[in-house]
Formats: sequence, structure tokens, C-alpha cells
Amino acid sequence: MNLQAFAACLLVGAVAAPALAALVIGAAIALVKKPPEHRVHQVCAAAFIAALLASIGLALGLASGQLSPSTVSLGPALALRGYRLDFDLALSPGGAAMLVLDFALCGLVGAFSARYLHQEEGFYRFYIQLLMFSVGIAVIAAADGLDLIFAGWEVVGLSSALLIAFFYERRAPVDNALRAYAVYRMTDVGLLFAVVTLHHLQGGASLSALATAPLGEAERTLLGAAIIFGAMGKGAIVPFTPWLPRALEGPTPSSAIFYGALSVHASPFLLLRISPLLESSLALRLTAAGLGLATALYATLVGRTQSDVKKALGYAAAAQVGLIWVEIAAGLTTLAWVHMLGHSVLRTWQLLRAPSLLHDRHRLMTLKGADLGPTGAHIERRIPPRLRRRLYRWSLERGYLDELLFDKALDLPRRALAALGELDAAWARRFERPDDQGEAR
Amino acid sequence: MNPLVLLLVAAVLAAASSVLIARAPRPEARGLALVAGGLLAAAAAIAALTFLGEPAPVSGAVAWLSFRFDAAGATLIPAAAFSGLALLLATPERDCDGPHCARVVGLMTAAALALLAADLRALVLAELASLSLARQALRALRRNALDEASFTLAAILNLAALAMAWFEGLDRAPFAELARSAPPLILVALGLAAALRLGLPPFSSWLSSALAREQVAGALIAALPFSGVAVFARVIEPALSLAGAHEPLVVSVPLLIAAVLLAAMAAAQRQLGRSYAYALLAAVCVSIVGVLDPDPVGYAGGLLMWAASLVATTGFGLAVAATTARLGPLDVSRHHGLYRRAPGLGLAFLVTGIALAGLPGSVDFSAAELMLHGSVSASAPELALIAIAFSLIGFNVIRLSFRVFFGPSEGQGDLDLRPRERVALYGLAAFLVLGGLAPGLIPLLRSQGG
Repeated sequence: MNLQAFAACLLVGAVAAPALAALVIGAAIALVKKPPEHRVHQVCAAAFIAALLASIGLALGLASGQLSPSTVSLGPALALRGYRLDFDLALSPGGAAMLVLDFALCGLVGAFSARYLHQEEGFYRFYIQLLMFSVGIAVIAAADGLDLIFAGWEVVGLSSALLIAFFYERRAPVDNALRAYAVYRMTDVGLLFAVVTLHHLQGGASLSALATAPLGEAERTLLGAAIIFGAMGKGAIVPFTPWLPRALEGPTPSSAIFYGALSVHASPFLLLRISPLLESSLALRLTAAGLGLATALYATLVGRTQSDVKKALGYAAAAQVGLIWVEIAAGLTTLAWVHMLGHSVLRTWQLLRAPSLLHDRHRLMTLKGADLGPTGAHIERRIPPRLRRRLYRWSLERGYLDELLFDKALDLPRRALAALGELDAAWARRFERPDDQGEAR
Repeated sequence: MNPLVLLLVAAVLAAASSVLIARAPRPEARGLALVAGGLLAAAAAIAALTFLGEPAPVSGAVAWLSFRFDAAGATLIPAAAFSGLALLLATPERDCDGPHCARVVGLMTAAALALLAADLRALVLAELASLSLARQALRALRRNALDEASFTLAAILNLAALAMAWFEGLDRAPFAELARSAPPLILVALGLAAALRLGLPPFSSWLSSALAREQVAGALIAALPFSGVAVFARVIEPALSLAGAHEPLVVSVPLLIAAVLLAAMAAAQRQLGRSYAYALLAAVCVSIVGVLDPDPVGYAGGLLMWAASLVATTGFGLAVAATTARLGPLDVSRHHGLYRRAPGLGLAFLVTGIALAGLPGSVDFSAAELMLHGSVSASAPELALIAIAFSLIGFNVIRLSFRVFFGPSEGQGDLDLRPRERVALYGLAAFLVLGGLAPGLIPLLRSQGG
């Protein structure tokens, strides 16, 4: 077996490891009801360590030139007449880096959670969802085709919603999870549209072939726009930003990796994968840059009035993701990579430390010997007082985006559809016979 | 071994035993029905396995009726049979009497015979049987003139189509010849009859109100798409293809607009059963678009989508029925916190629901992939409509799961699945997931692979 073939095995093993661990834990729960917590943690840790070592090996091999980027074909997942859905993975530096990040952070959070969630009712549920999420990110990172990326994207979305609603006995986390999932499904329409269009135009959904695919300008722009729309949801890009801080209702460890590190960075990762499309279209680059800048400004302003540390960090993460979008649009892909990887680690650390914020603040004040004081005061002083008050109000209301998107925009259609259903019910009730007990209300 | 003979014998035995089952006392009816239904399901599974080895259609005739077993039958008949078995297993005790069990067995048999039918006589007879059983099921729940009118009209249309075909000398002709020579009126009559039977808009009022009742399991017999696929796949689609009459604006686009509207209505409903009804109809509309696709990939996707939707809607419907049987008809504009009391039911509800939404790893996802790469791939509006429909169905499934199972718990006590319910629901979920992970084993895809 040569080195390249060995690397292919490592790649497949890395992606499969968390899936196998989830199956093992799921089977244990089905058989034993409550397997020992430390065993669950051990299985999870073994999977993440194995996958992490494999990913590090791949990353080092690619960085040193011992391995060359290639496509690992596992055969068709689906084949019918002229159509094929290939289960192809891409061995690439960016993908390997994302895999390292995925398994390192998930492994870290898995270790953190063994104590954090000890004897919590949802301990097993958390680990299965964590593993599901890790598989989803791994597929997004390693997939060669946009169709496989879409599959990973959906898995990430579902596991994300389930983890936001982790503390399911409270209404707020459940409602926030539903809101986040609504945003995901809304924007996933764009991604699905892009998958099928790419198949239709290119005869396949491979992103490696995108650079040389014979696509016209209009086709490139359409594809790129659909993918950008698809990426806006997970990346919490304006106007979809408000779901992100709401999503921090889940356990701190999952908030850290989902919304500080991995899930939220899946969006710029996708943009980096389609960079040949972006490079060929000024309109797409301007759109991505405009959306990124708007997100950065919005999130920075709104984050300044948050009284909850996790929400403040959520908005800070959204602001950075917006800046990464601007970097990608500007063609600064190396900077975007460094920014993404560094930000993921920093934000994970900050979110995991969030419960200790006050302790950290007191320690810093003791070291400084004085109060830390507010940040950005020098900028605020330059803003006229009247505008400052308006901005403050606007920021407290989170830019009214929630109200616009979920209340105003969806209210009329929701009421119209409910009314249509009532009409339907009323029509059927007209034909009830006297001896009928009637429809249950 | 001739799979067609095996299936016909099993169907005849099941039909005959349904007469006994109808008269059986309540405690024994379910057991007898499971034996009869199990026989049919086993025959379907063996026939499908036989087809995997030698994927060549098998034809034959019984009395004056012609039958044919092919790849589509090898996929759809097991789906119908196992869905029927699950219905028998998971129907709540209070709804599971002799007549109910007999109707389920009859429905499985009628569905199998419709899919085996090779001429219009056999097809119409099977469809009439299915109509009769569905009408009886609804009558057992309520007396509603709309139900009576819909099913009576559907029966009249079927008989009219058969009469017209007999007049033209086409009633015993193979479907290929029927497609070439049938007057459009026959196709319109059959199509309308199928639309009435399935409860497609604008004929959906009976279905949504039936499923909004407390006895969801009884209504499922009428609501689930056990029949109709053969009419669209064997008669209408070939006729449209031969006539070159596949106009998206006439066929696909209205159905897809209906699917989006229904999926959106499902997401806006406050009542659990009604929300499920609209989601079911949305899935059926999407399946019909696939079945009527002139592109072979899209057509295969449509047939697979029909089979997958039948299994997923049965599973999800049984989960809804189990929930309603425990807590009554639920208002899903608020939370009910059922998860603590019924975690197994919650898992089954979620898995069958997300399979219905076509999430990756399910058979519906494979079916959707194929459909989306048929002729709709060349039409941006159709693509967008299908994507929106799936998106809305997926959101609604999660909405219903979260509202029913999450939030503050109401009441105490264990309400989880009983062993037979567990077997039924988890069995269907396993079929949906395993079929999604290994779609190459599905007879329909194997026979057309590469």
C-alpha cells in the first residue's frame, strides 16, 4: 500500500470514527438503558483521538508535500442510468485543517462535558448529538461534491437544533431551537438548488472541478448566489444574525463549539470551497463583502448592549464571521483561513470560560489595580448624543431584525394559511350528519 | 419460483381470511390479521428478493385478469405490505376491532393487486376495492356527506373509465397499448378518481378533517396513499409520454404549487392531526410529480418517493395516532412536554418525521435526489418549488416534535410505547434508514442501475 492509499484510508477512518462511536453508544443505550458514564466518555474520547491523529497525519503530510491533494472515491452511493451520486472525499489542506479543528474541539468539549454534565439527565443524549454534529462537520470538511456537503450540512443543522433544545423542559430553549432550525431550513433551499443546478450544468457536483467547468457567467452567478444564500443561515449573516445569540441556550460546551467554532465557520468554509466561482464574478464578491460588512457592523453594535456574557460572545462571533466573509470576498483566502482557525479556538476558549467571567474580571482588576473601564469609549465620544441614544435603542432591540423577520414578515402568511385551514375545516363540518360527534377541536 | 404466483396466492389467501377476521372477536382479530398480513408481507419480501437475483418482469393471467410483476412492484408491494403490518401492530386497542383489522388486510391486498395489475380491468377492480375499504373505514368513524360524495364519485369515475375502455376494446389490453390508443376521457376519469381517492387539492377536506379526529388510526386506512400510484405510473404517465404532452405548466407546476401550499399550511396548523394531514398530502403531491416525470431517473425517483413516503407517512401517522390516543387531539401552538413520559415515542416521532422530510440517510433523501435530477433539474421554478416544499415539511416535523415532546411536562405517569408499537414504529424507522444507507439494494434501483 503506498502513502497516498494509506492517506485515503486515514481520511475515511477519520470521518467514520465518530459515526461508529455514535452507533456503539446508541446500541449500548438500547441494550443497557443507562451504560456507565465513564464508558460512554471513553468510547467518545477514543473516536475523537483516533480521528484527530489521523487528521493531523493528513495535515502534516499535505503540508510537507509527502501527500498530494486528491479525490478518494468510495464508489457511488446512488447510481441510475446516467445519474450518479458519488461518495467522494477530497484530500486537501483546507479540509484536513478543518478536520483537525473539528476533532480537536469536539474532543476537548467531550472531555470537558464528562464533568460538566455528570449525572445530568441528558448526558447520553448530549454525547450522541455531539458525535452526530462532529460527523456532519467532518463530511462538510472532507466532501468533494456539493451534494455530500449538503448531507453534512443537514446533519449539522438537525444536531444543532436538538442541542439548543437540550434543556427541553424550559420553553425558551425550545422556541429558540425552533427559530434557529427555521433559519437553517429557509437558507438550505439555496444550497439544495445549487446542488441540483450544478449537477445539471456540470454533470456532477464536484467542487474540485468547479474551476475548469465550462459554465457561463450567468450560470456562475446563479450558482454562487444560491450557495451564498445557503451559507448565510449557518453563518448568522444579516438578516439572519439574531438566531445565533438565541442558540446559546444549550449547554455551554455545545455553545462553545457550535456557535463559537465549527457550525458558524462552516459558512466561510463553504465560501472558501467555492472560491473559483467567487473569483469569476464581481457581483458575487461584492454581495459577499456587503453582507459580511453589514453583519460585522450590526453584530458589533448590538453586542455592545448585551447584558449576558454568552450573548455578547455570540454577537462577537457573528462580527468576526462577517469580517471573514469580507476577507474571502477580497480574495485574501490565506488571511481568512488563519482568521477562521484562530477565531475558532479563541471563541471556544472564551465560551467555555464564560461561567467564570466574573472571577476572571476580578482577577484582572486586581492585577491592574483599578477598574477595567468600558471599551470603545473613545469612539462613542465622537458620536453625537442624539444619534448615540438612537443607536443604543436600536441595539437593545437587536436592530428590530427578529421583529421584521419572524413577526412582521411571517405574520401575514401564517395567518392566511391558518385561515385557509379553518376554511377547509369549516367546509368539511358543513357535511357532517346529525349523528356525527364532530371533529375533535 | 414464480414470484407472481406466490404473490397472487398470498393475496387471495389474505383477501379470503379478511372475511374471517372481520367477524373475529376483538382480542383475536389483531392476531389473525397479523398472520394474514404477515403472509402477504413475507410473499412480498420473497418476491422482491427473487427479483434482486433475476430482474426480469414476470407476467401471467388469472381468470379474465392479467397481472405482471416488475421492479416497481418489487419495491412498492413490500412497502405497502410492511406499512400495513405496522398499522395492524400499532393501532391502539380501542380502535383495533375485527372490521378494522380486516380493512387493513384488505387494503394491503388491494394495493398489491393494483401494483400487479397488467390491464385496466384488474387495476380498476383493485382500485374499487381500495375505495370501498377506505369508505368503510371513514364510515366507522363518522357520517359525513363529503366522504360519501368523494368516494362515490371516485367509484363512478373508475367504472366509467372501465366502461369506456371496454367500449373501445381496451379493457384487457396491456397498458402500453392502452396508453397509445385510449381516448383522453379515460385518462381524465382515472386521474380524477385517483385524485379523489388520495384527497388531493381541491378534494382534500375529507382527509384533513378525518385525521383531526381522536381516532387517527382508523382514519389512516383511508388517508395513507396505499393506492393511486399504479394509475399514475402505469396508465397516465405512459400516455402523456407517448403523446409528448408533458407540459410542466399543466402537470408538474400546479402539483408543486399545491405541495408548497400544503406544506406551508401544515406548518401553520394548530391541530396535530390536521398538520400531519397536510404534510402527508404535500408528500403525495411531490411523489406524483416524480411518477409523471418523462425522464427515467425522475420517474424512478418518483416511484421510490411514493414507496418511501408511504412508509414514512405510515410511521409518522402511527406516532401521531399513539400520541393522540394518549393525550387526545393536541393543540401544537403550545408545548406539551411529553418526552419525559414517552421518550421512545418521541424518538420514533422524530425519526419517521425526519425521514418524511427527506433528511440525509433516509430513503426519501435518495428518492428526492433522483427526482431532483430528472426533468425538473432543467426548470428553475420547479426546482425551487420542490426545495421549498421539502424545506417546509422538514421544518414542520421539527416544530411538531418540539411542541409535542418538549416544554414543561403536563401530568405524570409513563406513556411510552408498548412492545408491539415499538416493533411497528422502530421497524418502519429501520426500513427508512437502512434503505437510505444502502439504496443499491432496492429492486427498483438495482434493475436500472449504472
